Amino acid sequence: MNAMNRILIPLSAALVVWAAPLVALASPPHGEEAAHDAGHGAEHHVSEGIKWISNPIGGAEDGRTGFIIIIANFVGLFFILNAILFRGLRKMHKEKTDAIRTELNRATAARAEADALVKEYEAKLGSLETEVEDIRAAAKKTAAAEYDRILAEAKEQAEKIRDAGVRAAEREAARRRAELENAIVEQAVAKAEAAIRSSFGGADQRRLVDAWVAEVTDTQLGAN
Amino acid sequence: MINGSLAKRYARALMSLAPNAATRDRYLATLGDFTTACKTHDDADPSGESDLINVLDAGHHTLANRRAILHAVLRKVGADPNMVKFFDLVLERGRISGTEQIFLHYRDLADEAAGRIRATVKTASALDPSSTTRIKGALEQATGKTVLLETKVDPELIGGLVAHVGSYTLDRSVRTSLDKLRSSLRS
Repeated sequence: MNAMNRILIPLSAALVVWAAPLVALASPPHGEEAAHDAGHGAEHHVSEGIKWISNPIGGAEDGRTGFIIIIANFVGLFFILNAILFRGLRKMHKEKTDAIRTELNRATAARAEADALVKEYEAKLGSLETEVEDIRAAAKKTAAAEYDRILAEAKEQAEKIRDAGVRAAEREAARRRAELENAIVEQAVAKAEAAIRSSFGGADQRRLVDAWVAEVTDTQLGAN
Repeated sequence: MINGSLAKRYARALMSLAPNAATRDRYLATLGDFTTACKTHDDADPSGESDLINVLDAGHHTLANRRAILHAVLRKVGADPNMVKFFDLVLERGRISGTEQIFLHYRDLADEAAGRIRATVKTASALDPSSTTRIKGALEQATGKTVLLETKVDPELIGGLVAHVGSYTLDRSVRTSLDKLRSSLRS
């Protein structure tokens, strides 16, 4: 509907603006009619000057239209054109103006934004070297801290491993020492047993029995 | 097998049947002989099913048959009528498998009543009679009771002796001395 209006309204305006003068040019001028009339007879008188008022229904004797009627017609035509043509044209013009203004504002804003971006990037580019240096320095600092941390952890871990190794070695040494001591003790006892078995005789047995008897005789055992 | 308190109750009951020390000792001898008879085992019967104690305890034999076997064995060991009645009661109550426990408790009660105590002496070699006498005398002096001494030989002791008297152990063996030496060296 809007597209149809856009086509019809300019077309109507062009028709009115161009067709009205054509109609006016196509009708015979009043002066020619008067001369024609004068040429045919003297009885006709030639009217001169502005005719202000004429019969609006028609039937005037000289065929001219009154100036006031023309003005009224013009005003009426103006109101009609205003109602059917100019209002639409103004509205369409206003819409287009608004659209153009909106687009202009948007373009202005976009341009401002682009300018800001350009300025920002220019600033960034300007500070890029500094930023790169800062990043490099921060990275070096972080790497150094990480290196120190890893080194400390590694040292701690190594210390733990070393302690665990020392403890394990101590345990193993203690176990081996105990085994060795046991073996030495067992060998010593075995040698002692062998020596006693080889030399133990009846006199030794009697001596032990005597000692046992002396010990038990001096003891009071409960009635059990 | 029966539990200890039950065996002790039977032992006390048997003690009450004996009017004097001689009868108690006779009952003790009968109980000991019967227990020894019950321990006999035929190697041809690995299951032990035909052992005396198992036959007497077997429920699939009639009580009359088991009683007849019991009486035959008791006649062999020379049991008096009270002992026969006692064993009849034990058999009927199904406690015949606890005879050994009853015997051990009865022996303790009879020994206590008679002022006796049993001692075991282990030596590496057999004791000569004089040593045995001296050991027995020393134990009697220490306990204040008549000592029934049992001697055993255990070569592992190497030398010396170990005596068990009641709950006491009197040890003067070379083996124990070597064990103590081993412990002291290790510590």
